[in-house]
Amino acid sequence: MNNEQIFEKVNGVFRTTFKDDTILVTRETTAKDIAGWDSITHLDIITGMEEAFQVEITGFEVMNLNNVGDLLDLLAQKMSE
Amino acid sequence: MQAILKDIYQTVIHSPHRTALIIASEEWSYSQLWSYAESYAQMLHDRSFAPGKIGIYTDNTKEMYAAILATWLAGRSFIPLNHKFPKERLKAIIRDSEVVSIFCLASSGDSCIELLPQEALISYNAVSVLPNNRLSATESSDDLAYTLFTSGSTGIPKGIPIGHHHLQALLEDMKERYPLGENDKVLQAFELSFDVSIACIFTAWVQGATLVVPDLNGITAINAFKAIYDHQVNFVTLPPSALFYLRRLKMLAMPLPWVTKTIFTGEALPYNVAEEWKTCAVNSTIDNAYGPTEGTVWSLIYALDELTEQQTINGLCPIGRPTKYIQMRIVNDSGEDVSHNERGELWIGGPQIFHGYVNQPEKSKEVVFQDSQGTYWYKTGDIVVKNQFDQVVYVNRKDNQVQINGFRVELGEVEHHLRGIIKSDAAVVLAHENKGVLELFAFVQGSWDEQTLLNEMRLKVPGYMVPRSIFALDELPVNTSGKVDKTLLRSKYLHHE
Repeated sequence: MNNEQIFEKVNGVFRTTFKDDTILVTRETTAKDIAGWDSITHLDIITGMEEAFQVEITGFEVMNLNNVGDLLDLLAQKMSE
Repeated sequence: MQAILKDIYQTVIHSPHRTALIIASEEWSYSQLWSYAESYAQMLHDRSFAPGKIGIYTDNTKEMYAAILATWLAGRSFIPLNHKFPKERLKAIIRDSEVVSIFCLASSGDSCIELLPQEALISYNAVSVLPNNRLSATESSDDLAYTLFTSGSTGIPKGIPIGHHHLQALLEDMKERYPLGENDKVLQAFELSFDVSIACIFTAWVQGATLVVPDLNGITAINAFKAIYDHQVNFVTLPPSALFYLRRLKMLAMPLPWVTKTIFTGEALPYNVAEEWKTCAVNSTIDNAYGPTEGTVWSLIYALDELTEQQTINGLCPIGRPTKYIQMRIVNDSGEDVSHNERGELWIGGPQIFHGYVNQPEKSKEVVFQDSQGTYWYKTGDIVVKNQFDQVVYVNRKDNQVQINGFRVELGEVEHHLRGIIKSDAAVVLAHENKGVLELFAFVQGSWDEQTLLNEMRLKVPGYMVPRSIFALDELPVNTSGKVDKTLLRSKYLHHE
């Protein structure tokens, strides 16, 4: 899976979570940028990523995610392992 | 100077280099905190705003914490303006409560300019901070410390004004119950618009302890855990639902032996949650703190012990006994005291009780009254029972109010906004436990697009009040009484969520 495909899949998870087909995240997107991004939706995003990419994300990894870019890097790293 | 400021000032004078505040990797000493607060207060003086309250845009920065003190040093009171709330809600709060100025970061200026004109904004970045300014604090003509807004069933948020004497009464109990000092680190993991934050901030600062603030974006519970771990925080306050996230992300296996006190608050505390926390915070005692904002953060507190398990009702821990200055009655529908073991509504009275909602005299009259001694009482709407150990146990609500992630939500307010969007009364909102967390689900009649309705709701209410899902049905089912059949809706649509 190339970076573009990962990015598209990540956007898909966001759109499903927020039930909004117009969402388009970037590497710089943070929780401040999307209305309704709270603890519950954040957990949905993490779970959604785990299912979509068939990986397991630990709490400590979640703690170090500051924006979507960090998430993309984490997913890319996990898929290469 | 108000007593709370005087207490903090003692540490500023005697231990100026002691750490007052840690946010992310940045620290401020008491001296720095005070210098910034004085400089911001000076700015308030210099700008000569008309009488009125000062809004604090919740950037959750060090400067925001200094601004709280600044408003009091300048003889004003503050209103938290939560940056996560929709603009329309913030505008309604500002209109309702005579906010004349807003403290904010320069980067938040674009958002705040929609709330008040540019000349009414105070950017932290524009203030020159002078050390040892030693401003003489202005004596306020009134006692007001802050005003918080909470969900209102009619669709209008209710403003709850809290005075310095209310907060002082709470803090006297806190100081006796939780003595803290130089070596104590206190977690503050709540939005400023949620009054538990006030208890955390000032319980720490009036005793010279260090306040540790995690990032409040993303999963707050995870960020709070990281702050506890990274800074070895020993005094922790969390909503019970935080453990849902920590469990789900497998974090409770990490030991936190330095935690010595945990307060669970904001939601009913299931006994198994407290037990689970003990596996992680092995050296911590646990309290369950209860209180409506109208009674100044906490009114009853229960310390868990070996008898707790046999005292639960529906698996929930007791809420305990009144704090130092709270009086309590448990009454029936006629306002008469019930007998032991009988359920009734909890009324709380004393110097922590507010005197009425902002601009809502009728609503205030329904829930607040003064007795013949002049003591203020608040009818909480919470149904409780006193058990054989003389401990109060929460049973349920009298009305349609629920706690979502610690926030008070009137289902009626969510319905009010939804009905406004669909321009019809055919909407109902239910609270339903989904994967261990209470969430809202809505049902509307008609061929509505869920995404459109959710987007509209996000513009009107804070995120925690936006339903998880909105089901559009051809017709809302009704029961034999002609009312919407909520039981049927639950079993048919929410069972598998």
